[in-house]
Amino acid sequence: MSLPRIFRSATFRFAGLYLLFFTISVGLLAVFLFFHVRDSLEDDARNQISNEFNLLLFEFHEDGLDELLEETEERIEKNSTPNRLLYMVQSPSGRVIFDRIDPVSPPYGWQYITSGRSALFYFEELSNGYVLGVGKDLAALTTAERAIQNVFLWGAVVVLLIGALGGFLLSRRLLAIVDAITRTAKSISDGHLNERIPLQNTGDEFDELGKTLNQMLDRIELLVANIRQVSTGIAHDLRTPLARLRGRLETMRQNPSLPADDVDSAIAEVDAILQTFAALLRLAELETGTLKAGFGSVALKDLVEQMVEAYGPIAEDSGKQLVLEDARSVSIAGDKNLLQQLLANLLENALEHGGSTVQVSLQLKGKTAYLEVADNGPGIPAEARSQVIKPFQKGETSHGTGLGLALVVAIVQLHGGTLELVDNHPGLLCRATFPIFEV
Amino acid sequence: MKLLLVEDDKATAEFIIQGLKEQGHTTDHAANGLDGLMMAQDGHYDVLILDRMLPRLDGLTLLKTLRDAEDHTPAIILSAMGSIDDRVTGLGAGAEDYLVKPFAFAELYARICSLARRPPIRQIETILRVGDLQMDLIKRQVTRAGKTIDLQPTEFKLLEFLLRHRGEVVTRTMLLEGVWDFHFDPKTNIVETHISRLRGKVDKDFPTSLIQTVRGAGYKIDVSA
Repeated sequence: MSLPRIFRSATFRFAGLYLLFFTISVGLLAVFLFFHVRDSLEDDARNQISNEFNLLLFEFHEDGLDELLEETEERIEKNSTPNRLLYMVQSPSGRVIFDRIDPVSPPYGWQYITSGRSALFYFEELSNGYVLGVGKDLAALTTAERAIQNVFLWGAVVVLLIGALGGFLLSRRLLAIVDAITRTAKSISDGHLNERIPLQNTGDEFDELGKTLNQMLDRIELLVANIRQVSTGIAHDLRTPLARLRGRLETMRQNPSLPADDVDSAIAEVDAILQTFAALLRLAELETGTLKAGFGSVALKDLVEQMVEAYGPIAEDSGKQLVLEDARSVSIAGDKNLLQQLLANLLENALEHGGSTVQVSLQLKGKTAYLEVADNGPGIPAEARSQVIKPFQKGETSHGTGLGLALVVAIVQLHGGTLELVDNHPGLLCRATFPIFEV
Repeated sequence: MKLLLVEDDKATAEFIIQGLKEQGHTTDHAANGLDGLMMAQDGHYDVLILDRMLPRLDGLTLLKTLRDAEDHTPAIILSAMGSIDDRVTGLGAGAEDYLVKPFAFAELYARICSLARRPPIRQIETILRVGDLQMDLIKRQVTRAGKTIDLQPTEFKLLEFLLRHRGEVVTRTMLLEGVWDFHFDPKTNIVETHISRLRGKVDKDFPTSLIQTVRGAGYKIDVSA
């Protein structure tokens, strides 16, 4: 299993989409948490500041400015941790003592100090014109914020990695199941009708799907077997009496009192019926697709050359020309016998109905082989072309069973190709295409 | 030749037995597969003629049983089933030849004769001869009365097939199968056309004809009687 294929799989795309939503929701959670934590930390700080401020204000009201200053100094000395509260007193002249911050001016109240240090302060003017401020350094708050940011950033990375790994594993598991189904279907369309989708016996929806498909395949196999049985039955029940009839006629042929010509033409009639039969049964056999199981590599060029050599003298004897124009070295997966029959039918048609020249070519374009048989005869009108390839539809001048082109189409389709009848200006051009498989 | 026919259809069996009798051969007949198997194991036959669909034991199983017991009597399968699959399984079961019903008696007879004559160990021949005609398979050269004859590849193959069966009748179908590897019946007279070309090269300028037409059956290459 190649890696790029996994990334193209539907499951992986679903997993990716899920991961995206999951990441967004985690991100939203992070934002919410971030603001919540920040708010509550700030609330704490405000409470702490308010309490301290009120205590100091009380001292001032009770004992005056000197006591306030003394008390404040005492507090600063008592608590020397970097996380302690900050204090400032500003004289009416603008001099700041204790924790040095830039002088403040009205309106007072809650303020964020950013110059020098980052802190939250509460200021209030005392009755003697002095300003008292209590604050808290925001460094702690910023540290907490950063910690939260880091946790979520790394969390996101881990989530993405685990999610991608999960998506990869999930895709691989599902791809394995889907691949098994695809392989089975491919094998069946290649004629191995007894193939079934392997079941895991887990009872999950894939097993259900597999079971249902297998039931359908059982049914198809049964139908194909029935068709085959019916054909075999027809073959046996009708061919055996015809064989007897032919045998009788042959015995009669030995009898000198009977007109030999009449018996001969009766034998010819029986043979014609049998030929139609053979063609019909072959058509049925082709359409079940089971012959694909016997496919091998066929060198088309050799085959075309051999057929042109076989039919060349026949063309010459009837004053026509059979020309092999261009034959590229091409191998396809197929049945040599059927391909011979295909070309024989096309050549016979062209020699019978076409003009003075029949041209055969074998070309290779990309991954497709083009086998063309073209004549310069009267051709077939465009509206009749789709008709002649159907069983028992034949041109007015044809003496055949009316199954020739139908057989050609069935053989081409069995090989995964197409048959086109186009105007050759003048005449008819039959173009059979075959997909090429790397051998 | 001593032959065994295993065929359940009475009329077909009679037709074959009668024909073989006229050619001077005795034929034992079994009407079902089991009897056929027992007779085949007891008697020493030159060729077995087996119908494919038989009561009690089908022709292919019968043949497989014989082959498993190292009995390599040449066998020809007769079958009303003419599909490609059937032919493949028929030959796979160990049959030397496979003939689809109905058939002309001459077709069957030519094939039986060919099987009966098949040497047990095929020696490697490099030069085939009939009369003053000689084919060198290594040099791929054909001469008649010392004169070199130029042949197209198909004509060469056709002549080689005839020479390998010299003195035997080969039918049109045998030639289609053996020379062209065609297992279907083409509408046109491929065999007749190519034989006539070959005659033009091999027989036309010589006092005697080697390639003979056997009426109602096929062709034969032999020194003319």
